[in-house]
Amino acid sequence: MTPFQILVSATPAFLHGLRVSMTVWLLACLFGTLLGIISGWLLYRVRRRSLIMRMAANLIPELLKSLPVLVLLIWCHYLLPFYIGWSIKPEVTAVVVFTLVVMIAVGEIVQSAIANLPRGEIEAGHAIGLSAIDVGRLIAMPLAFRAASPALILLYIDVLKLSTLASAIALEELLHVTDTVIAKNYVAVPAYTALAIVFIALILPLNWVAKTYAQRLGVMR
Amino acid sequence: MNPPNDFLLRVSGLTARMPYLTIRSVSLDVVRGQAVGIMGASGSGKSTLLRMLALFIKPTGGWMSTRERVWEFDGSSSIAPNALTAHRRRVVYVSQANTLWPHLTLRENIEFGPRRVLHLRHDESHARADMLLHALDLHHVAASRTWTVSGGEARRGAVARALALEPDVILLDEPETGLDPIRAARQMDLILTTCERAGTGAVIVSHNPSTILRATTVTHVVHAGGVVESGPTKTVLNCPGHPETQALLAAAGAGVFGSAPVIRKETYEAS
Repeated sequence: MTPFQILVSATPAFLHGLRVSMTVWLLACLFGTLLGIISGWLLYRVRRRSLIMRMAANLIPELLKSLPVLVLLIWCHYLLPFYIGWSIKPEVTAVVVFTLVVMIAVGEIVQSAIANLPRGEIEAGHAIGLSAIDVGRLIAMPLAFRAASPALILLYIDVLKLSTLASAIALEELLHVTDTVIAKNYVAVPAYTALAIVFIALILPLNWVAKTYAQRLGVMR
Repeated sequence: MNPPNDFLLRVSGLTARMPYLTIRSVSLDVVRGQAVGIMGASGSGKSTLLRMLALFIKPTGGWMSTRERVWEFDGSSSIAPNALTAHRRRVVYVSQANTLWPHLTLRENIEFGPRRVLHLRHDESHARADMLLHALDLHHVAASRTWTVSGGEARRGAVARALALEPDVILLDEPETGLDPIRAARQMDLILTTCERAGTGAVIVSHNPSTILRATTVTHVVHAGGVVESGPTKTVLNCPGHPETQALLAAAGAGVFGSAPVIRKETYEAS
């Protein structure tokens, strides 16, 4: 069998890997973004508090930020079950770890988006007699989201690529499937090339949609 | 004289102490359909005064009466949020920066107040926006994104957004900034005609005597946080009494203003 035939015959396995990768990625982005918005907002609120409170609030985010994701995955998958006494499925570990990764980054993005809100536009909301809640809801939030959207999209794309690290905990995602195909048939270069093509096919359109969207928003002109 | 019920905004002895500037005992009246000018050099406190009228800066003394209520400021009592928003719906501040909301089109910016603040029905707010878009020569950019319109259009858009609330008074901070004299004049005329038609009073802050002359009937000259000269605009600009007024006119080219006296260079340089 030629390498091409091997890869074609492995298509079902690749599709399975694709499904797992996409599921983990989508769930992590969804939960991570929601939690990140909340944590970012809370961390922003803490900014003007005492040094001790700031340090306490930022301790865990800063620690998580400086840990390699691979280590985090391995700790959560092999160390944590040892202490809590029951095993965790790799899917669950991956979703949890990548949710944390997204949450921390979104928290940062949200904090800077709030800090850099355009004052004049916010004041214009107050100037027409809008209540403080409505200014937040109808003006500040849309503006913050606009400002944050390019960074968010970049983050999502990064996390999609980062998700291949989950092959280290035997999650049957794209890289793991590729490695399995290679182990059975010794077709390393063709298989990794196929993997690259899959990722390009995923990320290029994503990037294009994101750019078009950002241009429509006027964030990227 | 106008009967008292024509007063839209009366301010007396308004004072505010801030770290960088003290606004000292300012008194002014705005009558229905009238434009009041506040002229002064940069840093004189004219913008601060305007922001005080919209209660963005809380006065520490004096009183202010609108058609709805009388405020007395003693520097201690805080202002209830409801009273604050109610005041700002009647006395709307338009800043000198382009502050149109970029997540909305120009028309949506204008309809925002009627819909979200006054809770008018969609067709009513649409009709108000239509009227203002035409009156302020903006109909051709109604559907545009706000960052695609010109500086003057953005400024008029911000004015339209304020006028859509049908306020008693509109507070305009340097409405001519960034426009050449011809466009500035045309824009000022559009804004004033629209205000007059609606009976809206205007307070116009500017350092530019030609804007003040064109737009206003009464002028107050502000210097170092206090009003140094007040009166009918033509009188103030033709016979400036205070050195600050004279310096502003001289710097702008006094001969332009009718029979304005020739001001010696010493006066201009002295202040």
